[in-house]
Amino acid sequence: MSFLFVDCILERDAGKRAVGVKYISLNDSFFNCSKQGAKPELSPSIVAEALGQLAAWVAMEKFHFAIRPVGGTVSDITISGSAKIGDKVFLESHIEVLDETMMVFSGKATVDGKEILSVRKALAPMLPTDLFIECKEAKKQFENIFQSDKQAESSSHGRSSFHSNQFCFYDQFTECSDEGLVGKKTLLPEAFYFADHFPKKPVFPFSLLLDCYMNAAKYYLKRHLGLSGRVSSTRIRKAKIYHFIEPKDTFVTKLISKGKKGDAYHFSFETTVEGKKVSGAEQVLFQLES
Amino acid sequence: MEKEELEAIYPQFKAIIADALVVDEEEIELDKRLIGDLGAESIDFLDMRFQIEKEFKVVIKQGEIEQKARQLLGDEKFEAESGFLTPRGLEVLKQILSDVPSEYFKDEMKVSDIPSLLTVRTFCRLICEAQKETQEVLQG
Repeated sequence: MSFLFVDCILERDAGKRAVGVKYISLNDSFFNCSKQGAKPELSPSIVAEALGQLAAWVAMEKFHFAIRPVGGTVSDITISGSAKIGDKVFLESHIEVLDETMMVFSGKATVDGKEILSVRKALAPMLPTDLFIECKEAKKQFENIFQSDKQAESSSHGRSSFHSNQFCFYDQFTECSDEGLVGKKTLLPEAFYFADHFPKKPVFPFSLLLDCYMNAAKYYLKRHLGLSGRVSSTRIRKAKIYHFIEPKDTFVTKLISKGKKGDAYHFSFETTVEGKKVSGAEQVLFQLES
Repeated sequence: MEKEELEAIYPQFKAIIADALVVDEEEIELDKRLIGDLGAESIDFLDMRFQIEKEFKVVIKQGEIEQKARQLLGDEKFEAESGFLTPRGLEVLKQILSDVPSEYFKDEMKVSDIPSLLTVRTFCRLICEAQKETQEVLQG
């Protein structure tokens, strides 16, 4: 199993932009299944992760893999569609700022020409690659991304089989009330994503934390408000990771319900590890299909 | 820094702080410290730097204050071996950060404590100085 999501880079301009592809196959991880009998959908946070990884590859290339972007903040993620098994997701990432200290990028993912997700102004500090993974190893991973579209497609069918979104659920929810709820999760060191993220310094991926937030909001809508309709669109605004969350850490997320404004349900999140604030998201908006 | 200069920068910078730190603009005051009073983390400084660059077309370099002090005094006179500022180093720092209320300085300070001194007003001044430098360069 791998936590690398760009199957192929079709176009690239080091340090500036890239176009890539992610094939969704039954052998992928992180599926959500919203309706019985419906095709499983790739978790949107993984699509956002793929856009981030695409930008990261061309940012690293510019600096000869000596520094790399890690974690950071995102101003806005808008989820307007989904990627299902068999879909070919086109990824486009544009780097707005890149220097020795930070990378800022925006991007969008499309399926059959229709936008399914966009990321606006995601900022990540540039840190020494060696802290996280050997530079040579990072370069090798980059070179292994298939430059040929066909090769990448056939390879996606051969991935090891494991599909579940259990990684993005809290172990326990407590204090569910009109104000919100509290979720708690302990990270198992053997969780597969730590191997790629990252070999020398495993840290919990920001994208999976965002997935946890979305799952907590869905749980709250269903269990506390009795709403189980399909989510038609989601927006995450001003999400940040302040400090890394590491294997064996137990993180506690406080979801605060901000009520219904217009036709969307608003939430904010704050996550702590041993009382220290490690992440937050100002707004997560859910619009349900009527 | 002239009052008019401050007034030209402060409202826009206030909006940047509010956005980056997710605080209400009403909470922001000129002499509040970004770290101690407004809760800024290192990632927030990057975020603000990006927004300052975009809005004001100037670059505020990381560690600019420390660099200035070191240039004035030289490394050895600025910092003792243990990472603490020398008495002369502290004096120079107070001069450079003359807009920071004196009660924010401690008798014994580490170089790594410098960011914790920075106030909203300090940043407004840094932006103003950077704008002037850019103008000078453009005018040759």
